[in-house]
Amino acid sequence: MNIISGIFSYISNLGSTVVVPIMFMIVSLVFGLSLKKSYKIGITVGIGFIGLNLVIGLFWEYLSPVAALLASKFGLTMEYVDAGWMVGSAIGFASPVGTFIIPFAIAVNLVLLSTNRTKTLNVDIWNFWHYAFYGGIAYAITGSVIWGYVMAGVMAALSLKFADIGAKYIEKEMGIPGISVPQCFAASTLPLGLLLDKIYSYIPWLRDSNVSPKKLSEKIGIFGEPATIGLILGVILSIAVGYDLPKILSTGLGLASLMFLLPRMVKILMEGLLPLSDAARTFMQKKFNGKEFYIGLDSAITLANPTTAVVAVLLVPITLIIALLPFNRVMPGADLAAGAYYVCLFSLIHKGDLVKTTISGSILMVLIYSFMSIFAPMINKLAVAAKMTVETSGLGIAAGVNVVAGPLLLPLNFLNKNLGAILFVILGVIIFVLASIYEKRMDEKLGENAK
Amino acid sequence: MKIIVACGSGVATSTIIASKIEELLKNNKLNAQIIQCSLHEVDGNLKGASLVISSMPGLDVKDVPVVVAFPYITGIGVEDLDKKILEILVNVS
Repeated sequence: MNIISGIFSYISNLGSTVVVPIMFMIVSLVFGLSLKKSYKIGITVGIGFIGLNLVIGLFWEYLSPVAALLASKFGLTMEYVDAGWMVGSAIGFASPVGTFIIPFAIAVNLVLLSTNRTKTLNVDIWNFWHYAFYGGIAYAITGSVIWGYVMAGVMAALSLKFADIGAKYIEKEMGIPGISVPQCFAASTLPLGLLLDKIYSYIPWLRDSNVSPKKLSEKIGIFGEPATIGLILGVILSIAVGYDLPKILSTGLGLASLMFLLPRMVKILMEGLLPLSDAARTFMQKKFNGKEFYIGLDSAITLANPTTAVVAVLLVPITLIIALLPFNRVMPGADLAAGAYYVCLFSLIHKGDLVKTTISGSILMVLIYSFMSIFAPMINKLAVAAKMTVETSGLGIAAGVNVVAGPLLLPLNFLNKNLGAILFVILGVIIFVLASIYEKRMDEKLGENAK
Repeated sequence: MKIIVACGSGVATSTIIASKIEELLKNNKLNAQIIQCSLHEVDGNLKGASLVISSMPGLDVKDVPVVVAFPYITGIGVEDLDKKILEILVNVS
Protein backbone atom coordinates (compact mmCIF):
# COMPACT_ATOMS: atom_id res chain seq x y z
CA MET A 1 0.00 0.00 0.00
CA ASN A 2 2.77 2.43 0.93
CA ILE A 3 4.55 1.81 -2.33
CA ILE A 4 1.37 2.55 -4.27
CA SER A 5 0.70 5.83 -2.46
CA GLY A 6 4.41 6.61 -2.78
CA ILE A 7 4.22 6.22 -6.54
CA PHE A 8 1.07 8.29 -6.70
CA SER A 9 2.52 11.14 -4.64
CA TYR A 10 5.71 11.13 -6.75
CA ILE A 11 3.56 11.33 -9.84
CA SER A 12 1.40 14.14 -8.51
CA ASN A 13 4.54 16.06 -7.52
CA LEU A 14 5.79 15.86 -11.10
CA GLY A 15 2.93 18.10 -12.13
CA SER A 16 -0.11 16.93 -13.99
CA THR A 17 0.67 18.92 -17.15
CA VAL A 18 3.46 16.42 -17.77
CA VAL A 19 2.06 13.28 -16.21
CA VAL A 20 -1.54 13.29 -17.40
CA PRO A 21 -0.66 13.22 -21.13
CA ILE A 22 1.71 10.31 -20.51
CA MET A 23 -0.96 8.47 -18.55
CA PHE A 24 -3.56 8.97 -21.25
CA MET A 25 -1.05 7.66 -23.76
CA ILE A 26 -0.60 4.53 -21.66
CA VAL A 27 -4.36 4.02 -21.25
CA SER A 28 -4.74 4.41 -25.03
CA LEU A 29 -2.12 1.72 -25.63
CA VAL A 30 -4.00 -0.54 -23.20
CA PHE A 31 -7.17 -0.06 -25.28
CA GLY A 32 -5.21 -1.32 -28.29
CA LEU A 33 -4.59 1.94 -30.13
CA SER A 34 -1.40 2.26 -32.17
CA LEU A 35 1.66 3.99 -30.73
CA LYS A 36 1.23 6.84 -33.20
CA LYS A 37 -2.40 7.41 -32.25
CA SER A 38 -1.63 7.10 -28.55
CA TYR A 39 1.19 9.61 -28.89
CA LYS A 40 -1.19 12.01 -30.60
CA ILE A 41 -3.77 11.56 -27.84
CA GLY A 42 -1.15 12.26 -25.20
CA ILE A 43 0.30 15.37 -26.80
CA THR A 44 -3.10 16.85 -27.73
CA VAL A 45 -4.42 16.35 -24.19
CA GLY A 46 -1.25 18.03 -22.89
CA ILE A 47 -1.74 21.00 -25.22
CA GLY A 48 -5.37 21.26 -24.14
CA PHE A 49 -4.33 21.45 -20.48
CA ILE A 50 -1.71 24.12 -21.10
CA GLY A 51 -4.12 26.12 -23.26
CA LEU A 52 -6.74 25.92 -20.55
CA ASN A 53 -4.24 27.02 -17.90
CA LEU A 54 -3.43 30.10 -19.99
CA VAL A 55 -7.08 31.10 -20.19
CA ILE A 56 -7.80 30.45 -16.51
CA GLY A 57 -5.28 33.19 -15.76
CA LEU A 58 -7.88 35.68 -17.01
CA PHE A 59 -10.01 34.86 -13.99
CA TRP A 60 -7.59 36.24 -11.45
CA GLU A 61 -6.32 38.98 -13.70
CA TYR A 62 -9.78 40.54 -13.92
CA LEU A 63 -11.62 39.21 -10.90
CA SER A 64 -9.07 39.24 -8.04
CA PRO A 65 -9.24 43.05 -7.67
CA VAL A 66 -13.04 42.89 -7.93
CA ALA A 67 -13.18 40.25 -5.17
CA ALA A 68 -10.92 42.39 -2.95
CA LEU A 69 -13.18 45.44 -3.46
CA LEU A 70 -16.37 43.43 -2.82
CA ALA A 71 -14.83 42.34 0.47
CA SER A 72 -13.62 45.77 1.58
CA LYS A 73 -16.68 47.73 0.39
CA PHE A 74 -19.54 45.39 1.19
CA GLY A 75 -18.00 42.78 3.49
CA LEU A 76 -18.72 40.07 0.92
CA THR A 77 -16.05 37.43 1.33
CA MET A 78 -15.71 35.69 -1.99
CA GLU A 79 -12.31 34.02 -1.87
CA TYR A 80 -13.14 31.72 -4.78
CA VAL A 81 -14.56 32.04 -8.28
CA ASP A 82 -16.79 29.52 -10.03
CA ALA A 83 -14.43 28.63 -12.87
CA GLY A 84 -17.11 26.46 -14.42
CA TRP A 85 -17.55 22.88 -15.53
CA MET A 86 -14.94 23.07 -18.27
CA VAL A 87 -12.24 23.86 -15.74
CA GLY A 88 -13.84 21.23 -13.49
CA SER A 89 -13.34 18.66 -16.24
CA ALA A 90 -9.65 19.48 -16.49
CA ILE A 91 -9.29 19.36 -12.68
CA GLY A 92 -11.00 15.96 -12.70
CA PHE A 93 -8.84 14.44 -15.44
CA ALA A 94 -5.68 15.97 -13.96
CA SER A 95 -6.33 14.63 -10.43
CA PRO A 96 -4.79 11.30 -9.36
CA VAL A 97 -8.28 9.80 -9.75
CA GLY A 98 -8.47 11.05 -13.34
CA THR A 99 -5.47 9.01 -14.43
CA PHE A 100 -7.30 5.69 -14.64
CA ILE A 101 -10.88 6.93 -14.51
CA ILE A 102 -11.73 5.68 -18.01
CA PRO A 103 -10.91 1.97 -17.45
CA PHE A 104 -12.18 2.22 -13.86
CA ALA A 105 -15.61 3.67 -14.68
CA ILE A 106 -15.96 1.21 -17.57
CA ALA A 107 -15.27 -1.62 -15.13
CA VAL A 108 -17.91 -0.28 -12.71
CA ASN A 109 -20.41 -0.04 -15.58
CA LEU A 110 -19.68 -3.54 -16.90
CA VAL A 111 -20.01 -5.11 -13.43
CA LEU A 112 -23.36 -3.39 -12.81
CA LEU A 113 -24.62 -4.31 -16.30
CA SER A 114 -23.66 -7.94 -16.06
CA THR A 115 -25.28 -8.25 -12.62
CA ASN A 116 -28.45 -6.51 -13.93
CA ARG A 117 -28.09 -3.64 -11.46
CA THR A 118 -28.33 -1.11 -14.29
CA LYS A 119 -29.63 -1.00 -17.85
CA THR A 120 -27.39 1.83 -18.98
CA LEU A 121 -24.25 1.38 -21.05
CA ASN A 122 -22.45 4.69 -20.58
CA VAL A 123 -20.62 5.45 -23.84
CA ASP A 124 -20.24 9.12 -22.91
CA ILE A 125 -16.59 8.65 -21.95
CA TRP A 126 -15.80 12.37 -21.95
CA ASN A 127 -18.14 12.93 -19.03
CA PHE A 128 -16.23 10.46 -16.87
CA TRP A 129 -14.41 13.57 -15.67
CA HIS A 130 -17.31 14.14 -13.25
CA TYR A 131 -16.50 10.92 -11.40
CA ALA A 132 -12.81 11.87 -11.34
CA PHE A 133 -13.70 15.36 -10.07
CA TYR A 134 -15.63 14.06 -7.03
CA GLY A 135 -13.06 11.32 -6.50
CA GLY A 136 -10.45 14.07 -6.65
CA ILE A 137 -12.22 16.06 -3.92
CA ALA A 138 -12.39 12.93 -1.74
CA TYR A 139 -8.67 12.47 -2.38
CA ALA A 140 -7.96 16.10 -1.50
CA ILE A 141 -9.79 15.67 1.82
CA THR A 142 -8.45 12.26 2.84
CA GLY A 143 -5.09 12.21 1.07
CA SER A 144 -6.00 8.68 0.01
CA VAL A 145 -6.06 7.81 -3.69
CA ILE A 146 -8.00 4.65 -2.87
CA TRP A 147 -10.87 6.52 -1.17
CA GLY A 148 -10.75 8.84 -4.17
CA TYR A 149 -11.41 5.96 -6.56
CA VAL A 150 -14.09 4.55 -4.23
CA MET A 151 -15.89 7.91 -4.32
CA ALA A 152 -15.58 8.00 -8.11
CA GLY A 153 -17.04 4.48 -8.27
CA VAL A 154 -19.98 5.43 -6.03
CA MET A 155 -20.76 8.45 -8.22
CA ALA A 156 -20.45 6.36 -11.40
CA ALA A 157 -22.84 3.74 -10.02
CA LEU A 158 -25.39 6.30 -8.82
CA SER A 159 -25.27 8.16 -12.13
CA LEU A 160 -26.11 4.92 -13.96
CA LYS A 161 -29.04 4.21 -11.64
CA PHE A 162 -30.45 7.74 -11.95
CA ALA A 163 -29.96 7.48 -15.72
CA ASP A 164 -32.13 4.33 -15.78
CA ILE A 165 -34.95 6.30 -14.14
CA GLY A 166 -34.38 9.40 -16.27
CA ALA A 167 -34.59 7.28 -19.44
CA LYS A 168 -38.30 6.79 -18.82
CA TYR A 169 -38.82 10.57 -18.77
CA ILE A 170 -36.73 11.00 -21.90
CA GLU A 171 -38.89 8.45 -23.67
CA LYS A 172 -42.17 9.89 -22.32
CA GLU A 173 -41.46 13.61 -22.76
CA MET A 174 -39.15 13.59 -25.79
CA GLY A 175 -40.24 10.42 -27.54
CA ILE A 176 -36.73 8.98 -27.76
CA PRO A 177 -36.53 5.34 -26.62
CA GLY A 178 -33.36 3.51 -25.61
CA ILE A 179 -31.42 6.58 -24.51
CA SER A 180 -30.42 7.61 -20.99
CA VAL A 181 -28.32 10.43 -19.53
CA PRO A 182 -25.73 9.25 -17.00
CA GLN A 183 -23.92 12.58 -17.28
CA CYS A 184 -23.22 12.95 -13.57
CA PHE A 185 -24.45 16.49 -13.12
CA ALA A 186 -27.80 16.11 -14.86
CA ALA A 187 -28.33 12.64 -13.39
CA SER A 188 -27.71 13.96 -9.88
CA THR A 189 -30.51 16.51 -10.26
CA LEU A 190 -33.03 13.72 -10.88
CA PRO A 191 -33.78 12.78 -7.23
CA LEU A 192 -34.13 16.47 -6.29
CA GLY A 193 -36.41 17.08 -9.29
CA LEU A 194 -38.63 14.10 -8.44
CA LEU A 195 -38.82 15.15 -4.78
CA LEU A 196 -39.72 18.75 -5.63
CA ASP A 197 -42.28 17.64 -8.22
CA LYS A 198 -43.94 15.56 -5.51
CA ILE A 199 -43.96 18.56 -3.14
CA TYR A 200 -45.39 20.86 -5.84
CA SER A 201 -48.28 18.42 -6.31
CA TYR A 202 -49.45 19.35 -2.78
CA ILE A 203 -49.34 23.12 -3.41
CA PRO A 204 -52.65 24.23 -4.95
CA TRP A 205 -51.53 27.24 -7.01
CA LEU A 206 -48.44 25.46 -8.25
CA ARG A 207 -49.90 22.01 -8.92
CA ASP A 208 -51.71 22.95 -12.10
CA SER A 209 -49.26 25.54 -13.37
CA ASN A 210 -48.69 24.99 -17.06
CA VAL A 211 -46.70 27.85 -18.51
CA SER A 212 -44.62 26.68 -21.41
CA PRO A 213 -42.72 29.02 -23.69
CA LYS A 214 -43.15 28.07 -27.30
CA LYS A 215 -41.67 31.07 -29.01
CA LEU A 216 -39.96 33.00 -26.25
CA SER A 217 -36.66 31.18 -26.63
CA GLU A 218 -36.13 32.59 -30.11
CA LYS A 219 -35.85 36.08 -28.66
CA ILE A 220 -33.06 35.09 -26.27
CA GLY A 221 -30.55 35.05 -29.13
CA ILE A 222 -27.27 36.70 -28.16
CA PHE A 223 -28.21 36.89 -24.48
CA GLY A 224 -27.74 33.15 -24.25
CA GLU A 225 -24.28 33.32 -25.80
CA PRO A 226 -21.45 32.75 -23.31
CA ALA A 227 -19.49 35.81 -24.48
CA THR A 228 -22.45 38.10 -23.82
CA ILE A 229 -23.03 36.58 -20.39
CA GLY A 230 -19.33 37.17 -19.61
CA LEU A 231 -19.55 40.77 -20.79
CA ILE A 232 -22.66 41.48 -18.72
CA LEU A 233 -21.19 39.79 -15.62
CA GLY A 234 -18.00 41.85 -15.95
CA VAL A 235 -19.93 45.09 -16.35
CA ILE A 236 -22.28 44.37 -13.41
CA LEU A 237 -19.41 43.45 -11.08
CA SER A 238 -17.38 46.51 -12.16
CA ILE A 239 -20.29 48.88 -11.56
CA ALA A 240 -20.96 47.22 -8.19
CA VAL A 241 -17.42 47.90 -6.98
CA GLY A 242 -17.43 51.45 -8.39
CA TYR A 243 -14.96 51.18 -11.30
CA ASP A 244 -14.68 54.03 -13.81
CA LEU A 245 -15.87 53.56 -17.40
CA PRO A 246 -12.59 52.38 -19.00
CA LYS A 247 -12.20 49.79 -16.26
CA ILE A 248 -15.85 48.70 -16.56
CA LEU A 249 -15.37 48.11 -20.27
CA SER A 250 -12.04 46.32 -19.96
CA THR A 251 -13.34 44.01 -17.23
CA GLY A 252 -16.42 43.25 -19.33
CA LEU A 253 -14.31 42.48 -22.37
CA GLY A 254 -11.90 40.43 -20.26
CA LEU A 255 -14.66 38.15 -19.00
CA ALA A 256 -16.25 37.95 -22.45
CA SER A 257 -12.89 36.74 -23.80
CA LEU A 258 -12.62 34.23 -21.01
CA MET A 259 -16.05 32.77 -21.75
CA PHE A 260 -15.27 32.66 -25.46
CA LEU A 261 -11.82 31.11 -25.11
CA LEU A 262 -12.58 28.46 -22.46
CA PRO A 263 -14.59 26.22 -24.82
CA ARG A 264 -11.89 26.57 -27.50
CA MET A 265 -9.29 25.16 -25.15
CA VAL A 266 -11.52 22.42 -23.78
CA LYS A 267 -12.22 21.47 -27.39
CA ILE A 268 -8.53 20.69 -27.86
CA LEU A 269 -8.65 18.43 -24.80
CA MET A 270 -11.74 16.79 -26.24
CA GLU A 271 -10.16 16.29 -29.66
CA GLY A 272 -7.28 14.58 -27.94
CA LEU A 273 -9.57 12.21 -26.08
CA LEU A 274 -11.74 11.45 -29.10
CA PRO A 275 -9.93 8.37 -30.48
CA LEU A 276 -9.65 7.00 -26.95
CA SER A 277 -13.34 7.48 -26.27
CA ASP A 278 -14.13 5.79 -29.63
CA ALA A 279 -11.95 2.81 -28.72
CA ALA A 280 -13.43 2.58 -25.22
CA ARG A 281 -16.97 2.74 -26.59
CA THR A 282 -16.32 -0.01 -29.14
CA PHE A 283 -14.77 -2.13 -26.40
CA MET A 284 -17.86 -1.74 -24.20
CA GLN A 285 -20.34 -2.42 -26.97
CA LYS A 286 -18.47 -5.56 -28.01
CA LYS A 287 -18.73 -6.87 -24.45
CA PHE A 288 -22.49 -6.48 -24.44
CA ASN A 289 -23.44 -7.19 -27.99
CA GLY A 290 -27.05 -8.23 -28.40
CA LYS A 291 -28.13 -7.40 -24.88
CA GLU A 292 -30.81 -4.75 -24.60
CA PHE A 293 -29.76 -1.64 -22.76
CA TYR A 294 -30.04 2.13 -22.71
CA ILE A 295 -27.21 3.94 -24.42
CA GLY A 296 -25.94 6.58 -22.03
CA LEU A 297 -25.35 9.96 -23.69
CA ASP A 298 -24.49 13.49 -22.65
CA SER A 299 -27.30 15.64 -21.24
CA ALA A 300 -26.92 17.84 -24.34
CA ILE A 301 -29.50 15.62 -26.06
CA THR A 302 -32.18 17.20 -23.85
CA LEU A 303 -31.13 20.82 -24.33
CA ALA A 304 -33.18 21.83 -27.36
CA ASN A 305 -36.12 22.53 -25.08
CA PRO A 306 -37.68 26.01 -24.95
CA THR A 307 -38.33 25.81 -21.19
CA THR A 308 -34.72 24.83 -20.52
CA ALA A 309 -33.45 27.68 -22.68
CA VAL A 310 -35.61 30.31 -20.97
CA VAL A 311 -34.93 29.12 -17.41
CA ALA A 312 -31.19 28.99 -18.15
CA VAL A 313 -31.26 32.72 -18.88
CA LEU A 314 -33.55 33.51 -15.91
CA LEU A 315 -31.07 31.72 -13.67
CA VAL A 316 -28.29 34.23 -14.45
CA PRO A 317 -29.75 37.09 -12.36
CA ILE A 318 -31.18 34.62 -9.82
CA THR A 319 -27.71 33.14 -9.29
CA LEU A 320 -26.18 36.59 -8.82
CA ILE A 321 -28.70 37.23 -6.03
CA ILE A 322 -28.10 33.80 -4.47
CA ALA A 323 -24.39 34.63 -4.38
CA LEU A 324 -25.18 37.46 -1.95
CA LEU A 325 -26.46 34.98 0.67
CA PRO A 326 -24.32 35.00 3.81
CA PHE A 327 -23.03 31.41 3.56
CA ASN A 328 -21.56 31.93 0.12
CA ARG A 329 -17.82 32.21 -0.54
CA VAL A 330 -17.85 31.77 -4.32
CA MET A 331 -18.14 34.49 -6.93
CA PRO A 332 -20.40 33.45 -9.84
CA GLY A 333 -18.40 32.86 -12.99
CA ALA A 334 -18.22 30.69 -16.08
CA ASP A 335 -21.10 28.37 -15.18
CA LEU A 336 -23.54 31.27 -15.41
CA ALA A 337 -23.56 30.25 -19.08
CA ALA A 338 -24.25 26.60 -18.23
CA GLY A 339 -27.69 26.99 -16.69
CA ALA A 340 -29.25 24.80 -19.36
CA TYR A 341 -27.19 21.82 -18.19
CA TYR A 342 -28.36 22.46 -14.63
CA VAL A 343 -32.09 22.44 -15.33
CA CYS A 344 -32.48 20.19 -18.38
CA LEU A 345 -33.94 17.26 -16.43
CA PHE A 346 -36.19 19.55 -14.35
CA SER A 347 -37.85 20.69 -17.58
CA LEU A 348 -38.67 17.07 -18.41
CA ILE A 349 -39.82 16.13 -14.89
CA HIS A 350 -42.02 19.25 -14.56
CA LYS A 351 -43.41 18.65 -18.08
CA GLY A 352 -42.03 21.91 -19.43
CA ASP A 353 -43.70 24.16 -16.84
CA LEU A 354 -41.75 27.39 -16.61
CA VAL A 355 -42.75 28.25 -13.02
CA LYS A 356 -41.86 24.90 -11.45
CA THR A 357 -38.65 24.61 -13.44
CA THR A 358 -37.56 28.11 -12.37
CA ILE A 359 -38.29 27.38 -8.69
CA SER A 360 -36.48 24.03 -8.84
CA GLY A 361 -33.57 25.67 -10.68
CA SER A 362 -33.28 28.37 -7.98
CA ILE A 363 -33.34 25.79 -5.16
CA LEU A 364 -30.68 23.81 -7.02
CA MET A 365 -28.45 26.88 -7.32
CA VAL A 366 -28.71 27.57 -3.56
CA LEU A 367 -27.62 23.98 -2.85
CA ILE A 368 -24.81 24.08 -5.42
CA TYR A 369 -23.41 27.33 -4.04
CA SER A 370 -23.58 25.87 -0.50
CA PHE A 371 -21.63 22.75 -1.47
CA MET A 372 -19.27 24.73 -3.66
CA SER A 373 -18.51 27.06 -0.71
CA ILE A 374 -17.76 24.07 1.52
CA PHE A 375 -15.55 22.22 -0.95
CA ALA A 376 -13.92 25.19 -2.74
CA PRO A 377 -10.67 24.88 -0.72
CA MET A 378 -10.22 21.26 -1.85
CA ILE A 379 -11.07 22.08 -5.47
CA ASN A 380 -8.53 24.92 -5.40
CA LYS A 381 -5.98 22.52 -3.91
CA LEU A 382 -6.48 20.19 -6.88
CA ALA A 383 -6.23 23.13 -9.29
CA VAL A 384 -2.96 24.24 -7.67
CA ALA A 385 -1.61 20.69 -7.94
CA ALA A 386 -2.57 20.72 -11.63
CA LYS A 387 -0.63 24.01 -12.05
CA MET A 388 -3.82 25.76 -13.21
CA THR A 389 -3.45 28.38 -10.54
CA VAL A 390 -1.08 29.33 -7.73
CA GLU A 391 -1.83 29.46 -4.03
CA THR A 392 -1.15 33.19 -3.95
CA SER A 393 -3.48 34.07 -6.82
CA GLY A 394 -5.76 36.02 -4.49
CA LEU A 395 -8.82 34.27 -5.88
CA GLY A 396 -9.19 30.51 -5.62
CA ILE A 397 -10.66 28.22 -8.26
CA ALA A 398 -13.95 26.42 -7.60
CA ALA A 399 -16.40 24.52 -9.77
CA GLY A 400 -19.97 23.28 -9.30
CA VAL A 401 -20.45 20.41 -6.85
CA ASN A 402 -23.59 18.45 -7.62
CA VAL A 403 -26.36 17.83 -5.13
CA VAL A 404 -25.68 14.10 -4.70
CA ALA A 405 -21.88 14.27 -4.46
CA GLY A 406 -22.09 17.21 -2.03
CA PRO A 407 -24.00 15.36 0.72
CA LEU A 408 -21.88 12.23 0.20
CA LEU A 409 -18.67 14.22 0.63
CA LEU A 410 -19.89 15.98 3.79
CA PRO A 411 -19.09 13.17 6.25
CA LEU A 412 -15.54 13.08 4.85
CA ASN A 413 -15.17 16.76 5.58
CA PHE A 414 -16.45 16.67 9.16
CA LEU A 415 -15.54 13.21 10.44
CA ASN A 416 -12.42 11.13 10.79
CA LYS A 417 -11.47 10.25 7.21
CA ASN A 418 -11.91 6.47 7.34
CA LEU A 419 -15.18 6.74 9.27
CA GLY A 420 -16.39 9.40 6.82
CA ALA A 421 -15.39 7.24 3.87
CA ILE A 422 -17.25 4.21 5.21
CA LEU A 423 -20.26 6.44 5.81
CA PHE A 424 -20.28 7.77 2.22
CA VAL A 425 -20.09 4.24 0.85
CA ILE A 426 -23.04 3.19 3.05
CA LEU A 427 -24.99 6.31 2.05
CA GLY A 428 -24.21 5.63 -1.60
CA VAL A 429 -25.48 2.05 -1.34
CA ILE A 430 -28.66 3.18 0.43
CA ILE A 431 -29.38 5.78 -2.28
CA PHE A 432 -28.70 3.16 -4.98
CA VAL A 433 -31.13 0.68 -3.37
CA LEU A 434 -33.83 3.33 -2.86
CA ALA A 435 -33.48 4.44 -6.48
CA SER A 436 -33.77 0.82 -7.63
CA ILE A 437 -36.99 0.39 -5.61
CA TYR A 438 -38.36 3.63 -7.05
CA GLU A 439 -37.50 2.45 -10.56
CA LYS A 440 -39.28 -0.87 -10.00
CA ARG A 441 -42.43 0.89 -8.78
CA MET A 442 -42.32 3.17 -11.78
CA ASP A 443 -42.08 0.16 -14.09
CA GLU A 444 -45.06 -1.47 -12.37
CA LYS A 445 -47.08 1.74 -12.74
CA LEU A 446 -46.15 2.07 -16.40
CA GLY A 447 -47.07 -1.60 -16.89
CA GLU A 448 -50.50 -1.05 -15.30
CA ASN A 449 -51.14 1.99 -17.43
CA ALA A 450 -50.22 0.02 -20.52
CA LYS A 451 -52.86 -2.57 -19.62
CA MET B 1 -20.99 24.74 -48.77
CA LYS B 2 -21.40 25.39 -45.07
CA ILE B 3 -22.35 22.80 -42.46
CA ILE B 4 -23.22 23.70 -38.88
CA VAL B 5 -22.46 21.10 -36.22
CA ALA B 6 -24.13 21.97 -32.91
CA CYS B 7 -24.33 20.53 -29.42
CA GLY B 8 -25.13 21.95 -25.99
CA SER B 9 -21.87 23.77 -25.41
CA GLY B 10 -20.15 23.48 -28.78
CA VAL B 11 -17.38 21.56 -27.04
CA ALA B 12 -17.79 17.87 -26.45
CA THR B 13 -20.44 16.09 -28.49
CA SER B 14 -20.10 18.42 -31.45
CA THR B 15 -16.37 17.64 -31.61
CA ILE B 16 -17.22 13.96 -32.00
CA ILE B 17 -19.79 14.70 -34.70
CA ALA B 18 -17.58 17.21 -36.53
CA SER B 19 -14.71 14.72 -36.75
CA LYS B 20 -17.02 12.10 -38.27
CA ILE B 21 -18.35 14.63 -40.79
CA GLU B 22 -14.82 15.66 -41.75
CA GLU B 23 -14.01 12.02 -42.40
CA LEU B 24 -17.21 11.52 -44.41
CA LEU B 25 -16.48 14.58 -46.58
CA LYS B 26 -12.91 13.48 -47.17
CA ASN B 27 -13.91 9.95 -48.16
CA ASN B 28 -16.45 11.30 -50.63
CA LYS B 29 -14.20 14.06 -51.96
CA LEU B 30 -16.59 16.79 -50.89
CA ASN B 31 -15.58 20.22 -49.71
CA ALA B 32 -17.41 22.07 -46.99
CA GLN B 33 -16.79 24.54 -44.23
CA ILE B 34 -17.71 23.00 -40.89
CA ILE B 35 -18.83 25.39 -38.18
CA GLN B 36 -18.92 23.89 -34.72
CA CYS B 37 -20.99 25.79 -32.19
CA SER B 38 -23.33 25.71 -29.22
CA LEU B 39 -27.11 25.58 -29.23
CA HIS B 40 -27.35 29.34 -28.76
CA GLU B 41 -24.98 30.13 -31.62
CA VAL B 42 -26.85 28.19 -34.32
CA ASP B 43 -29.09 31.14 -35.26
CA GLY B 44 -26.16 33.48 -35.71
CA ASN B 45 -24.34 31.06 -38.03
CA LEU B 46 -27.36 30.02 -40.08
CA LYS B 47 -26.87 32.39 -43.04
CA GLY B 48 -25.72 30.42 -46.08
CA ALA B 49 -25.71 27.06 -44.31
CA SER B 50 -26.81 23.98 -46.24
CA LEU B 51 -27.23 21.65 -43.31
CA VAL B 52 -27.45 21.65 -39.52
CA ILE B 53 -26.23 18.53 -37.74
CA SER B 54 -27.00 18.39 -34.05
CA SER B 55 -27.04 16.15 -31.00
CA MET B 56 -30.31 17.68 -29.85
CA PRO B 57 -33.63 16.52 -31.22
CA GLY B 58 -36.23 19.24 -31.52
CA LEU B 59 -33.96 22.05 -32.68
CA ASP B 60 -36.13 24.70 -34.32
CA VAL B 61 -34.39 25.91 -37.49
CA LYS B 62 -36.04 27.62 -40.43
CA ASP B 63 -35.30 26.79 -44.09
CA VAL B 64 -32.26 24.62 -43.43
CA PRO B 65 -32.48 20.82 -43.13
CA VAL B 66 -31.63 19.46 -39.68
CA VAL B 67 -30.19 16.02 -38.99
CA VAL B 68 -29.94 14.52 -35.50
CA ALA B 69 -26.65 12.67 -35.27
CA PHE B 70 -27.12 10.15 -32.45
CA PRO B 71 -25.54 7.36 -34.53
CA TYR B 72 -22.16 9.16 -34.54
CA ILE B 73 -22.23 9.18 -30.74
CA THR B 74 -23.63 5.70 -30.14
CA GLY B 75 -21.96 3.96 -33.09
CA ILE B 76 -25.28 2.36 -34.08
CA GLY B 77 -26.76 3.14 -37.51
CA VAL B 78 -23.77 5.12 -38.75
CA GLU B 79 -24.06 3.97 -42.39
CA ASP B 80 -27.68 5.05 -42.73
CA LEU B 81 -26.88 8.45 -41.29
CA ASP B 82 -23.85 8.82 -43.62
CA LYS B 83 -26.12 8.09 -46.56
CA LYS B 84 -28.77 10.56 -45.41
CA ILE B 85 -26.24 13.36 -44.97
CA LEU B 86 -24.56 12.67 -48.32
CA GLU B 87 -27.93 12.78 -50.07
CA ILE B 88 -28.68 16.21 -48.63
CA LEU B 89 -25.21 17.51 -49.49
CA VAL B 90 -25.27 16.18 -53.07
CA ASN B 91 -28.65 17.81 -53.64
CA VAL B 92 -27.24 21.13 -52.51
CA SER B 93 -24.06 21.10 -54.56
